[in-house]
Amino acid sequence: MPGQRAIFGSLDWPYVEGLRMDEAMHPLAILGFGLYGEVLPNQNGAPVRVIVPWKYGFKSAKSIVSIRFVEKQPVNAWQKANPREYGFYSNVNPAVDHPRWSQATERRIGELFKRKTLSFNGYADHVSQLYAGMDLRKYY
Amino acid sequence: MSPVTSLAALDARTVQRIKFALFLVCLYPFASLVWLGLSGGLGADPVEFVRRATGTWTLDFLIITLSVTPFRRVTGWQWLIRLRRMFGLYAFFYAAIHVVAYFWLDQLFDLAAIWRDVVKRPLIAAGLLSFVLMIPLAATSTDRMVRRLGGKRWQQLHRAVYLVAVAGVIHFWWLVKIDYTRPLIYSMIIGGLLVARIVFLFGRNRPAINAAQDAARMRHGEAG
Repeated sequence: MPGQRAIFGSLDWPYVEGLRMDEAMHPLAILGFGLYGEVLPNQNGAPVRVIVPWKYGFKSAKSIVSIRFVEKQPVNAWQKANPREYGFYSNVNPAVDHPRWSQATERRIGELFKRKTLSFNGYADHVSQLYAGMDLRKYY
Repeated sequence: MSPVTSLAALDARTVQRIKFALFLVCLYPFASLVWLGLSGGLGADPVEFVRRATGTWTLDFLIITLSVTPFRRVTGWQWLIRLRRMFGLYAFFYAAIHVVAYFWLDQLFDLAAIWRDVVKRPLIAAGLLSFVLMIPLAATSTDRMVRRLGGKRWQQLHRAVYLVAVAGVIHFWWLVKIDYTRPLIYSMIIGGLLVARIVFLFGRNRPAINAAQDAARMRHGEAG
């Protein structure tokens, strides 16, 4: 994969990702074996991946090798690589910028111009109750 | 075609032919982007592809432009100076496409949004600084402007190309997520070229003399 063995700047493999129990148990958190009616291709994370559509894409880990239930919140791969820029929750939030760029707009695949990013990627009605009372600027 | 006994001195017509051939070669990246665009080969995120490709091509042409003088000092092929303007303008050409992609496809010409980006994102500020500095260089690239400014003043103004290249590389560093390999390689090459210029600056060839000679060569198309 591009950059997987980059000499300068690479993630600490194996890729680690984590979800809170209530996030993982939520119906929108999906273990995926297929894509658009086909068996999941290798580049999309065969044989099984997790899809968490209300979070930024790096949370949707591919080609899962093992799942562990732990007591303490794990440090995920991107958070370990750059804790200032990547957090644990990583909910899609147009109001909280990435330190180096804005997350207020996004380009949907197949479209030419950008559109406004939606809170929780449009799933706010389904998942925002999981984060009631949490400061999403602090828990990014 | 006149026989060429050595590559050190070429007549104006041969240089002109080389320049024409290279003009077409330098157009290849643009042509390939157009071709890929028409044939659906730009991938899932065509805007990002074009922006990334034109960005690296800009740095590539800046490197080529900055390599001309060190190369001709080492080889003695003075006619290479005739190509430098073309390479520099191609850097500006690819930078312009890159900037238009950002202004138009990313920001929809929303100047307030662009200003917010410049103020809050150092990487945008660095990139825009690099491009804005290229504008006077492109504008003073013509023979007439060289004559109007005079060799020495033109040379002083066009030293800004070093800042253009450095700001461009910093822009690249600040936008990569984690894999620094490519910005690092560009930094080393551009850093090396800057060191080479500094070495020459304190060498036997005094810059003022070369400025006048270069201006004369560029205007009159001399080969030697």
